[in-house]
Amino acid sequence: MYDTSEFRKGLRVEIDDQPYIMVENQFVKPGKGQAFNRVRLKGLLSGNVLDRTYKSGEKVKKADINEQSMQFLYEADGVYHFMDNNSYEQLEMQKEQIDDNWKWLLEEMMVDVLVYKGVPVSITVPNFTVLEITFCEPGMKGDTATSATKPATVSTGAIIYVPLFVNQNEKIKIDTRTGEYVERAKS
Amino acid sequence: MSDWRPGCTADLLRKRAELLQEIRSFFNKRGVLEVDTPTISRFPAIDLHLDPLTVNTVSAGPVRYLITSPEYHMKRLLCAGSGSIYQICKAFRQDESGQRHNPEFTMIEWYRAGWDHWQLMDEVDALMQVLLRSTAADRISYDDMFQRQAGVDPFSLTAESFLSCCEKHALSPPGYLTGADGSNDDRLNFLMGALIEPSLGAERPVFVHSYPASQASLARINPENPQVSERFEVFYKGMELGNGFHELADAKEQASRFKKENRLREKIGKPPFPVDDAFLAALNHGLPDCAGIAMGFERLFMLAHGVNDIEDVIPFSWDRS
Repeated sequence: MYDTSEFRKGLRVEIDDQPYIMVENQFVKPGKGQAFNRVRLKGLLSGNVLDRTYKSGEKVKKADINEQSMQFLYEADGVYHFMDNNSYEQLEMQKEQIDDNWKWLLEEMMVDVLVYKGVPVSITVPNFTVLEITFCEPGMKGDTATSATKPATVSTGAIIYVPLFVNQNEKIKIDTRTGEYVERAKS
Repeated sequence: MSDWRPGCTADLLRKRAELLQEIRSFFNKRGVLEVDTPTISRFPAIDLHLDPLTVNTVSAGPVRYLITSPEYHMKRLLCAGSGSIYQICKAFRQDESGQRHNPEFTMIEWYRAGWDHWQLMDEVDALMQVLLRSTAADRISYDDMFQRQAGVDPFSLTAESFLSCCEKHALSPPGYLTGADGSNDDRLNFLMGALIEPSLGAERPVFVHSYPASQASLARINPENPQVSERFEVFYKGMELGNGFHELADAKEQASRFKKENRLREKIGKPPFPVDDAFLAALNHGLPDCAGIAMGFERLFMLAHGVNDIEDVIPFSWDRS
């Protein structure tokens, strides 16, 4: 159980048999009155947002949840396969659970898999990744001054907007949190 | 490596010192005497929702308490004839931690002998105009404020009117307030903290006065209207800055309020506290007619320099201490 004094952003709690992550926590003490915490929770499975108020000293259940570092093996028919490199235990996830992260998944990549009561819920990929451009229109040499971009398809099939001077078969660094091009990868 | 660095910048450290200087010079010009009273006390303040930190000062003896405010000691000085006094000191409150709370914080507390709370409000206003460059403050009664901002009459609130008010304002009331046995003061405090306070004093500071008698704390009851007390709070930019009273001087009434607070503490499973005999004896001797206020120094500092998190104005806040 977590006491209100342990509340903080990022805490994973369980309410009505559902796991939530605390996205906001505000401690309020009105004058001489009873203190309370106003929290905003986001459902880890549902994505639903829930606002709750807890009296100081109230307790909330910890979610039976942990993050496991796993290697991405392969995808087949919309099913993604991962393996724990220590125990060789494998698990699979559906494309919906992977969310937009399919754009960055390369075989052998290490990802964090969130497991709730033994069931994989979501994954987190590294903040930055390097992918090869498999197709884009030819580059315009020396055009580094304009901020214009063009679409480029990378090896995972995702489309990234890149500056005009970037060419097919080049490797680029991408910020996976925003999905944006960062720079040409130094090879 | 441990993070040894202070949480506030060198610039803010200098501004902190300047602000303290301005406060001292404000009181000095007005002939208010700076005093120093204990940080560790034999007795805690007795308040339903205040919990002190305890200290073991001898290996096998009663615990002592870090002060939650210097109020009882300062009133003993007033009873002994000090005249108007002020103090800038540390105060400590268990479990009070957040964007505007640090369990250890700096308090500016002062008492004006011969004044009532209306006169004191004028002085608080003058101090804020110096420190915060604010314009003249507004005044509103607790009753009017609730009617205006929440659309409820605080003196006839019921479980039903409370719930419909929450619904109207899209507030999720916690379980302890929704049942028939919930306390109206707790409900009012919830509406105050969750709904009203964030919008108080947006343009200029506001004094909210005439709190319900049930929330009088150490304030006198209004002799003309026993429903309200001579207590006020001051807010600016959605933040509570201070709490003041036309001070209760009646020793008997004070003793009975201590008993009541202890009863209420026990009712919610908190330990009752020993009563400060020295404080009651001083009141028996006679507290001059006076008004007093405690203001949070860090919050004034936050407003003076547009800082949103208390951690950023304290060199070593709770987690860095």
